[in-house]
Amino acid sequence: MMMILPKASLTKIEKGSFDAIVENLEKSNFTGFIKIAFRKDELSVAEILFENGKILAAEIAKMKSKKSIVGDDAIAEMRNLEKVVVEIYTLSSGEIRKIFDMNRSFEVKEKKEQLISRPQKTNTGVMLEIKEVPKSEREVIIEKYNISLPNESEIDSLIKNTIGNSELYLDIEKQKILERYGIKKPREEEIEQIIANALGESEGEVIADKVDKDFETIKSEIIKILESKVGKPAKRAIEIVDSCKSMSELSRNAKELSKALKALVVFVPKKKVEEVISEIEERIGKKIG
Amino acid sequence: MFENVIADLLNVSGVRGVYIADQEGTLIESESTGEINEEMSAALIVEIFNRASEIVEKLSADKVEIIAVEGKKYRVLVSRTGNFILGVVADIKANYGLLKIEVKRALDKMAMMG
Repeated sequence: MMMILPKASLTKIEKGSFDAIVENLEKSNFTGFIKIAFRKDELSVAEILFENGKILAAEIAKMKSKKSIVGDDAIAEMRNLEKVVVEIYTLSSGEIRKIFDMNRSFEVKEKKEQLISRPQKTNTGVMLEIKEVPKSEREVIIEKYNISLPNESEIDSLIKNTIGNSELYLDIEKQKILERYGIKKPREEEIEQIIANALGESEGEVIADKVDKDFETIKSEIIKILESKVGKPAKRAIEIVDSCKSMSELSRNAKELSKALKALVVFVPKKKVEEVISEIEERIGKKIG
Repeated sequence: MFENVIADLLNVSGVRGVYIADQEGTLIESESTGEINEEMSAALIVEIFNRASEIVEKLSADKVEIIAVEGKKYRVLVSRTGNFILGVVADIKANYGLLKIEVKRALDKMAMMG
């Protein structure tokens, strides 16, 4: 059984060690087939198919005994051969695919890194089997299609062209600037505080402004509290609250309101007065006591 | 050294032996299917070449390209490239045309390697 090969024109003939010649062919991404003649026990001829430096199929035919060794066994048989004559025939990828389809039975399945690994002698004389690290799928694709990797600036410009106008890109850029200068992103509360400081408002005033929005509701709530918890004795306090037309006015009259409420201890228990005061404080968001 | 050349010729149906020698008749490389004294065969092949070359030179002032000697059972083809002489012994029934083509191809390869 012999491999079916076309009558191709000889590219070149090389002599030397099998491993070195095959390694060169693998490195140069050779596509085609090679014929190797060597003597190991008897005169033998091997044929190996290559595609992009990868061994696809192999066969050894022994001339006298007419024996045939195929696939991975054939490669193993030739490993470490020091004197071989190699005829190199270059073909196109399409041609080698067709040839490989006709010679499927000679397929080499062993992984490439296992094929080219061979024992290496160390300084201590110990033989070590050094194997190539298996290549990732990404590396294989990069090698197969001769892709040159882009540098940092190319990647940056590519990203800028693709998402340059989007919020995501602006966010990324902002993050980069913050990182570059060691700036921490402020929290929401910190931002509010900074704005308030910039506008010259105190914390109390900010709160009072918020309360202004629903002043009428708050006023009626306070009056309700006074009526329900203190009753008639709270008449003066209710008048003070009722006379106020805004939260800022109520804040201004806070001391007076507090005085009127504290005067109630004659009629109402002190604890209850304090309770009412704290409830009013809660409503207006400011201490009145 | 010429394992590929010898293997190619031995692959031709009917080829019994291939011998490569230098001009003095010293065997360089050979392979045969039978029990043959290869060194003596190589010396004899070179002898055929040298004698035939002398005769052709004297007869027609020409140079030898291929010498074919036919016996009852075997045919012997001898040729030369550079310092090497190639001899092929084949069955008389072997395809002579194909044999000549293969011998020429072998000589080309030897020239590339020499």
